[in-house]
Amino acid sequence: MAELLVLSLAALLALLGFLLRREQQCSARLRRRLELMAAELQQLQQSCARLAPAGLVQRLASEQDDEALAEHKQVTALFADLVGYTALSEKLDAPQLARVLNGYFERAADAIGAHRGHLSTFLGDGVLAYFGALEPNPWQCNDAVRAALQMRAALRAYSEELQREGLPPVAVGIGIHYGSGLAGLIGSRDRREYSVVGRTVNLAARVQGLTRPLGVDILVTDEVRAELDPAIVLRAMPAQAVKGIALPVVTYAVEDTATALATD
Amino acid sequence: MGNLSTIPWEACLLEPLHDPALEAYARRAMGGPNPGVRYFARSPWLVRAMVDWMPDNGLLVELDDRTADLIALIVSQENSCRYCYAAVRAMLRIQGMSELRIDQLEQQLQQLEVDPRLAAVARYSRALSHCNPPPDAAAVQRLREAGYGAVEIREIALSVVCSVMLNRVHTIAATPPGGFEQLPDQLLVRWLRPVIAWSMERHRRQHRGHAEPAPPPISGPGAQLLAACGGSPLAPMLARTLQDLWGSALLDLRSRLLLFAVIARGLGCTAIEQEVAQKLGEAGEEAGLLPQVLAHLDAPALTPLQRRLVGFARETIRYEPQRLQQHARQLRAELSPEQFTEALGVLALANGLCRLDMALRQVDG
Repeated sequence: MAELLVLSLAALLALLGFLLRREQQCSARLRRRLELMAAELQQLQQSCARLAPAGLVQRLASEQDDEALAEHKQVTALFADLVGYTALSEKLDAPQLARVLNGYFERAADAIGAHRGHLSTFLGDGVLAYFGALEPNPWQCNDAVRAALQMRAALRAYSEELQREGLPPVAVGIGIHYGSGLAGLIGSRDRREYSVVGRTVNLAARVQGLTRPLGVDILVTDEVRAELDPAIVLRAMPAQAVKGIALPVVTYAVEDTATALATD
Repeated sequence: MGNLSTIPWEACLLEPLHDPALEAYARRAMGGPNPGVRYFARSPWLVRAMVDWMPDNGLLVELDDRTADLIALIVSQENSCRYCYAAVRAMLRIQGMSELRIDQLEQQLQQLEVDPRLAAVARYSRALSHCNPPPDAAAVQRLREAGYGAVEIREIALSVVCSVMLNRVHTIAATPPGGFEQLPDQLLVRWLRPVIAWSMERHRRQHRGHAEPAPPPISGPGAQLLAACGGSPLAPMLARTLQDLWGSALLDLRSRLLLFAVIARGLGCTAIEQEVAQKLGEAGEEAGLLPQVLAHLDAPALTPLQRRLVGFARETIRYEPQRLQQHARQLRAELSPEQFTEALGVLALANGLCRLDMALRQVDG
């Protein structure tokens, strides 16, 4: 009788142990799945933070009213465009052209990211970036010009690399303007992106267009010059008329920083 | 372990240093050992500040400990500070919350699917932590509407700021989070969990803050903030931290002041920026130096090291941990360990005090 009792107890304990173990395994599996999902969520939120200001993402999550979140902001717009893209596209086959373009975009994006810029979009062979749009940035003009200088240096090195492989070099024209713009989630119902619209962006694009006739690669407006570190060396350009702007636009070519020139 | 364990984290930038007196100070104040203290022992004022600026260390009068814990969890997660996040999670586990429950709570807080009081706190904490933009009068009003009184709102802001500071100290230094990440699963801790939880609870009860007489006024950056904190348990702590900070000489005074000024400018805290300008003037600096540094993060009068320091300062306002740590490593190579430790302490404190100054001005109208 005692043996039977002991055996029953042992069986009961074994059963309980088995159930407990299964429960633990099930709970561990659930925990792992939850961790994976949480990691995915975290990644998604981080991606969102790169696309729009954190405050906006948070407000969007709770309010879901895109229009109410738009605001006027002081931003610096940088517009870069590849020089001689048409000629380049005629010389190279499609895979080569894609490789050259991707190398250019990658270097441009690195330079913008390294100086706290927000790469808004690639427009054909052009790049539009904002500084001071995603987060308040009192040093946005300096950041934008330093990003342009880094792009210049990176593309020079890239061109040498391409030439060594028998490919044509690349060059860009960059226009930078500082001013007010409407920042928010802009677009159609199905496709909206964080963007800045207004005269600031248009003028940056127009100023970029002046780089070729003026024979320089980086041009900034007077509004940018007023905010710039005096260590950045500028050369005044003749005022130019541009489409959509009543008065001729005063621009400055960016030479380099005083420190860099001294080193050279 | 939580979802921050996947965040890239550099090897620690500081060598631990055994300082029995500082470790004893931390143990007495916190009711247990603090493994992080050793990494910062080269700057004693920083260790004391790290210990003193813990909300559950007597800084709270009306805000409940659970809300303060959740604020620490939210802010550490927002700032991606693996060390602080692991520490808070370990504490919650020890207090009896399962890992699954913490994960659920985190998700609910993220989606604001919690009771309206806690949702208001979560929104405010994130806003003050990011300062992009800083919380406005409407954010404070939402807390009032959720039922929080003036003292509680001030303590919510203080709890956020304590985490903002500690997050920066540990993130810049890349303090190893491994100990805390594994702590709750250690067999001994699991066995002793109820005892540790009881001891923590007892320590909190014993140290629960009470109103303090205002300390004598001091001069320099943070003086107005100190005056605004009069009557709270924070006031004597803040007074001591500020006296220690401005009395230390590991980094030159100009560097410390400029670090404060850059953070103040980056966050838009005009009061502290003006206090720095005044202090620089008293120290005999030319009036043109500060406007130049604040406009361009550079000035001809700066030494190469000061130039590097002010450039790094702006990176600590809003950051990605690994990139910040990589830049901190470059900076560390140019400073002595003592100077580097002090620099990161000044930066963390400046980030905290500027946010607190702006938050209290909103609360007090």
